[in-house]
Amino acid sequence: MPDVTDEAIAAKVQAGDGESFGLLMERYEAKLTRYARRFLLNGEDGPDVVQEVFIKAYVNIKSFNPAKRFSPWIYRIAHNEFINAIKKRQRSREMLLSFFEPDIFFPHPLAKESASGEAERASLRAELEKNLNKIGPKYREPLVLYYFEELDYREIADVLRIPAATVGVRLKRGREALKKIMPTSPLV
Amino acid sequence: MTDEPKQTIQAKVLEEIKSGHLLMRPKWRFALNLALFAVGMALALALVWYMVSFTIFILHDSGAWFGPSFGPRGWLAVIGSLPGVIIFLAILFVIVLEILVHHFAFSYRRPVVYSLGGIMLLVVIGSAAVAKARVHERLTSYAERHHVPMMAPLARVFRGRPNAHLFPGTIATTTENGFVLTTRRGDFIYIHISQSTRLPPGFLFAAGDKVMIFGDRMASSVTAFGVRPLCPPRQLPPPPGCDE
Repeated sequence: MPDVTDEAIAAKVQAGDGESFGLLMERYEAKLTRYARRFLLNGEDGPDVVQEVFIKAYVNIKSFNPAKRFSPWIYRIAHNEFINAIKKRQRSREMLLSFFEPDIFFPHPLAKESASGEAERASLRAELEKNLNKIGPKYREPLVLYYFEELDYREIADVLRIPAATVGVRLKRGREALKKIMPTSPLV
Repeated sequence: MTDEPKQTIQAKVLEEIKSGHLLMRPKWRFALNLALFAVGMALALALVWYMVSFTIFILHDSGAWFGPSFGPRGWLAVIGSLPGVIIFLAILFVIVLEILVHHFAFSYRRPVVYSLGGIMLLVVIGSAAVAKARVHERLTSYAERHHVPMMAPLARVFRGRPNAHLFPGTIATTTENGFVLTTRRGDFIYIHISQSTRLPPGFLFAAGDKVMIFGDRMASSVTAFGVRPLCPPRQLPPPPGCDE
């Protein structure tokens, strides 16, 4: 059913057609596994976390509004699960403090989304892929969502629950971090 | 090799769904969740309104509200009169409110400073309205008259703390260098007026006037730095020949 939208399938699942959830899993499993691998940095718990994302998505599917896009909704669940996985793994408090981050406190000018060509994006992705592990999770996640999962600023804002302008700021800082690691990087 | 986890994840989840072990949460659970958020926000806002307006009431009651009219030393007197515990709790509930509001897209899509600004505006407007309605005055006197548990002792704790530099009261009688003030507790304080005392221009003291004194207390006398009438000031009579 390639022409049927995710939202329409989600609506069918909400109506009680549990089998249709398999279609959604088919469409998102590769994406979420990739997202987990890049965000959790090849953690062995990746497949388990992705499975947990689908379980949470199914259990909470009736909270999804089919008038909105499905992908930010499932990525939000994935984000929460990945954060929990990182907390379990590192016992890090970094994420707990995200509400008090100064970059979500004050307004920033909204940076324009770059309209780079596919060839350029592919080279950026290749470079990012090699160096993602050197960038902290705060900047790594928006880079992954923007360059690999191809979500726009507004969708990333909904996934991370931060202002869209802050997404721009974090992407810029993420690229700057990469530039420091690889001075020849074309990202900045 | 790479397809193996894919098959496993899908198969496992679908199996759980088919076997009935995995159930969708009903829609009402999410509606209830939303309602609880709304109730939580309303409750937090009401508590902040209550605490801020109670602080205004205490400042009025102790006379500290009029401190700023006596200059920087008056401001210090106001700061010293603030009920620290209540202010701390009010700030805590504002943070709770911000966290609850941040759950909604209209809030998290904008910088925190905007939602915090909106909350502060609501707090100021609501608290001013509650203070103007004299809710605490009525509640406190009701609690004291009927000995309401918790409320009556709380009112006594906060109302029974006179400010060290501000003395509201009524002029009992005038003296050669000032007047005798009857405080709200019924004590008498001798107020010394000097040339450096800040007085409203043209103000005439007379027995029965309600005034606020700002000064240093020594036993039963106060050297006044400033005097402010709490009722419309009695003005000097117009000079002869200027009658309207």
